[in-house]
Amino acid sequence: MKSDLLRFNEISRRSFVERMAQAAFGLSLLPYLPGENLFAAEAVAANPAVARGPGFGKAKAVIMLQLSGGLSQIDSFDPKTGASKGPGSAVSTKAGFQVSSFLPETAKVADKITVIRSMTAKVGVHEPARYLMRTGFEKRGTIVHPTLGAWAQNYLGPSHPTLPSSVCVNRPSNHGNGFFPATMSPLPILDPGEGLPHAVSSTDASIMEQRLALLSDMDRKFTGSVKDSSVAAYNDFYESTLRLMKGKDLECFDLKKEPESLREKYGANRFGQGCLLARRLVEGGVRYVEVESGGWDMHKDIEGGMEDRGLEFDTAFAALVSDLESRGLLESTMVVVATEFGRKPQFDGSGRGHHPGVFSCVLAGGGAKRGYVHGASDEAGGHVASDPVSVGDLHATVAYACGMPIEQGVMSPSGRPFTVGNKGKPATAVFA
Amino acid sequence: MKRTPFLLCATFLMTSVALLEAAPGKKGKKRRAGGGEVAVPADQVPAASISWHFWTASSGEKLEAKFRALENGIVTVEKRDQKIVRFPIARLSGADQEFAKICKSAQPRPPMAQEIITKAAARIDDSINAGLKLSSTAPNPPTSDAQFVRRLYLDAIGRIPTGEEANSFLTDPSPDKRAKLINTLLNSPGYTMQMYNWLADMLRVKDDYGKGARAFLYEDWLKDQIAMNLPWDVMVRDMLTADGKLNENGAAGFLLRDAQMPLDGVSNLLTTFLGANVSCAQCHDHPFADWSQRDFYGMAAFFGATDGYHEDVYRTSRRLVKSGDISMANQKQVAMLLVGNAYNLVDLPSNHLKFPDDYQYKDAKPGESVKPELIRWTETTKANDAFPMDDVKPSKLRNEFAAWMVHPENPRFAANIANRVWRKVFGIAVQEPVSDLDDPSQASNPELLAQITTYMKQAKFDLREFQRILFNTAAYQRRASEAPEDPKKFRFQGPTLRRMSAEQAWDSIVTVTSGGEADQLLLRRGDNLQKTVIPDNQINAATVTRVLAELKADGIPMRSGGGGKKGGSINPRALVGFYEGGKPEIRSGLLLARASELQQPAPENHFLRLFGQSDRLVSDTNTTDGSVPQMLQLMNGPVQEMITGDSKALVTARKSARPAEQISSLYLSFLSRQPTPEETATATAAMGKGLGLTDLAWVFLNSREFLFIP
Repeated sequence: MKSDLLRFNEISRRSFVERMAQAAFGLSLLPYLPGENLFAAEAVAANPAVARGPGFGKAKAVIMLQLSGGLSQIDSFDPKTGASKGPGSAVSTKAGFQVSSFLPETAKVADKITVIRSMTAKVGVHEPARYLMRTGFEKRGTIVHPTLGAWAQNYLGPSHPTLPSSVCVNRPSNHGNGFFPATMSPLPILDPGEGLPHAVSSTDASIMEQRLALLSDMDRKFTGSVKDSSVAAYNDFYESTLRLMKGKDLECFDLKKEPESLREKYGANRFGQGCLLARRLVEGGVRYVEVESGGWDMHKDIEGGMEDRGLEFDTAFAALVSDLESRGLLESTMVVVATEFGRKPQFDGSGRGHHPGVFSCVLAGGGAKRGYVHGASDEAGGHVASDPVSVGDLHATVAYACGMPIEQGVMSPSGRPFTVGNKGKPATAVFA
Repeated sequence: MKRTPFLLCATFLMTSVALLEAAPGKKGKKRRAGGGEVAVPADQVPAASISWHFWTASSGEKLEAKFRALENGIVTVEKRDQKIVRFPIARLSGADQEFAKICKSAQPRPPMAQEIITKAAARIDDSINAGLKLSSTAPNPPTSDAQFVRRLYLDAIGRIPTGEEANSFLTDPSPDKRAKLINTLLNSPGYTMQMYNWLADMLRVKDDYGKGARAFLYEDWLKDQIAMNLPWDVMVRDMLTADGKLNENGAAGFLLRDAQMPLDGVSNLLTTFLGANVSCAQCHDHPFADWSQRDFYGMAAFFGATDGYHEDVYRTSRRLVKSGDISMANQKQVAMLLVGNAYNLVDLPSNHLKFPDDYQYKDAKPGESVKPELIRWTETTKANDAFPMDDVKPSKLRNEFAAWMVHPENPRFAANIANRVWRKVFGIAVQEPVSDLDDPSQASNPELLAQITTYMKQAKFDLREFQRILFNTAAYQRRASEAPEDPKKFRFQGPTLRRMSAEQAWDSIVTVTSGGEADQLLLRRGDNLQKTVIPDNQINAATVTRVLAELKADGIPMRSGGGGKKGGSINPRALVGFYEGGKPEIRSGLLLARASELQQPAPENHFLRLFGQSDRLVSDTNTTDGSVPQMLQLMNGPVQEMITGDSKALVTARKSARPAEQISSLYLSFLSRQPTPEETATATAAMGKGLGLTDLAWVFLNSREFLFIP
């Protein structure tokens, strides 16, 4: 199959879409055949050039926590003293590094996580920066890039027979499949407490079956005469939705199946419940879950913001890491704390401006070292001092952890070559 | 800020003549002075339109007001308290419908003659055909009448036709019925709703600016402008030069949207109104384009004296509660009351924009003051009429900027809006992406882009007339093609095949459920907001307490949202007396009103959001991608309940006795066409095996043909 991947510019878009739709599990018209992932990692085995060092392929699932608006590194994972100091203070952890006093619960699990303090980017505008963090590519007007979840589905195949391979929580499904077919876009869960709404058939099974048969008869004329990939994608969505409705995996979306005490531990808010849902989904077989938290654009009142959003994050993140650990899932699940960019070292007494030059991200599990700091910012927290990690590098790192053939490119339907993380280099030092 | 829209009418007088002239924008035109409108001499203003009049609704209610406009089937009037009120003409008594038409006929603002429209459309077709020839692409075959009627209803008024409307078009034998339908639809209330949805995505319109500050007046203002069909340049200029509070002056809502991030705001408005791809240059020189960070700051300096968000006003709420002058129980209400007052667009005595501390280029120093400077795109534009500018007082910076921006000779303003409206109509812009017009030679058909830019100017930025031209082209009336991966390769052999937008899908479902009635339902939410205005020098415990008491006495709740989690409920006070023609119905927990009248944006779980309505954080982010939750919504969610309950489509179908007629009625209601004999046979057979009309309705709702526009 790999040869086909490399010859995409020679085959038609129609053929591309059909092939990809077949590869997209959960969403294909073909029955699920384990071991027959059309674009699977076998390509890696056939390509000795791909490096396979420590940590490669250890992460079977990824939970991406996206803090939208720009997490202040100094007020979270990279505390500073002197002029840059914010409203919080630095607290020590048993891992030997410090975090901000706004993250007391995270401090307790510091010995399980890797902090990357040398993230750096050039984009300081929200939407393009969010796009960059989601896709690993700078936003262009000419093409839409896929998220890591879609890349993984492309390279590794679907992660489960009926469940989707990607889910995004607390956000709609834009920034998803990119140039891969719409069937690789994440399933959006807007309210984790509600799970997947309307998944139960609105009428009894025999009527539903007749309706569906009639639907397929009556729509055939239209779908047959209209040659369009987006219409085709809708056909596929119907098939996969029906399969999901019939399957028993719907329970994965139901937080009511979790003990009340655990739900409280994650925090009674959308982000906290989203993190718990992410754990349930990963446990059930979903490979890639993004949970979004909004409200991190703290131009003003960082103190209030960190007491509010910061507390929600701190509670949920620590609960998630501990919960995964106690279930034996942390080694096979990589939790990534990502954001749009950092915030300026200059503290005006209230807030801080956008600062892509240096910021922090966090990896926990999935083969990442425990109690480790990768890279450093300078004394003021304004520039990278050592081991810079670009957003593309971060993507390559996560892709490497998942066992994706990061050096092997794909050709987009428009004939342009791309690699996951845009030729970024994995920061292999983070792996144990 | 003064606004005298009615007096702008004179600018339309020359429109028809101008289109016949080949040459665009002549040299030597005088720049419009200051605010810039051309006034009609007082003796030419028709008497009917300047006198007070008691307007009588068909229900008998009366309202004293002056006539302002009758456009799109909507009458706009001004009350004695200067509030603008609009209502569908259909709500008036017969006598007053006539009166409104007389007022309208006295306005010196005739639509373009059909002959001019046809000619302009033909010239656009010439350009498209030349582009097709160059790329050896064949034009698509023409649409059938059934395809045309459905597509035009969706594009012009934002919903599918009712079965009756579709049938009356299909059975009309007249040869010019397409042009007639275009005229009818562009002059109906649904046009306003459709345009509002489009603008709301582009301008990121949202109800809540944070902490409960509500932008309802801005939304009402936008709808007023569309309902009066004010030209685009006037609208934009008014938004850029507005002063005042969010709860006081609707036009101020545009700049206040980004008051907390003024630089992002400048970047957004340059992209939205000029297609200038500047977002990178906000922080560093653009890596690929010619934009430098200095260019960006030069432009931003025109807004450097403007202040929009006054945190001190908001913080007063904490102080009042801390001091004990206001009880803790009222803390939230006070905060909400004051945050609305904290959004206030004012110009300070000096321009305070400075280069950032990390400015890295040699052309300026970090922390240095920034001098306002206009971008030029090319050297040759320097001599352009739009550009000359003297030293500007800080209080006039925005006015100067706005005059330059909307000037017909601004190299990008007309091209940008023409290109964006083109995309709305054809699915793909002549130059993609619409956010980057920096190099017009990159357009898929540069001659076409130049041509529609000229027509936009000649139509005096009247977006309705411009769309009338586009809808009349042969290209628009051809079958749709699949959108190519690279939009630059599209040659407009027809429009692109599209899934309905979220708003089109919702509004169509509302239409199937309740008929065309929802078009007549214009909800307003800003009316009560002006009661929350407190002058800055009176923000103290006594005034705050008094205002809260008054609001309470008036039954106006001080709480955010107002639409409920699912968008089912809406503050009943949104419907005020006179134009309360019919109260919107709630079915399956959903308010049966057009998308434009619902919360902005709709709540996350609402059908609209699931089907891709933008969250309104970023411009132009409505999507039409599929998803599993969409399918679940259509198969099992509340909209299928609405449709399979006593929907208008089902009630109409049941009036027929024979199954074949019932089936045909449903085809018209859902798909705007008659079934083929095979389709009738298939449906009849299914009904013979135990399925009913409700099941058929469910099938139509779930069909690809319902959602996609071929």
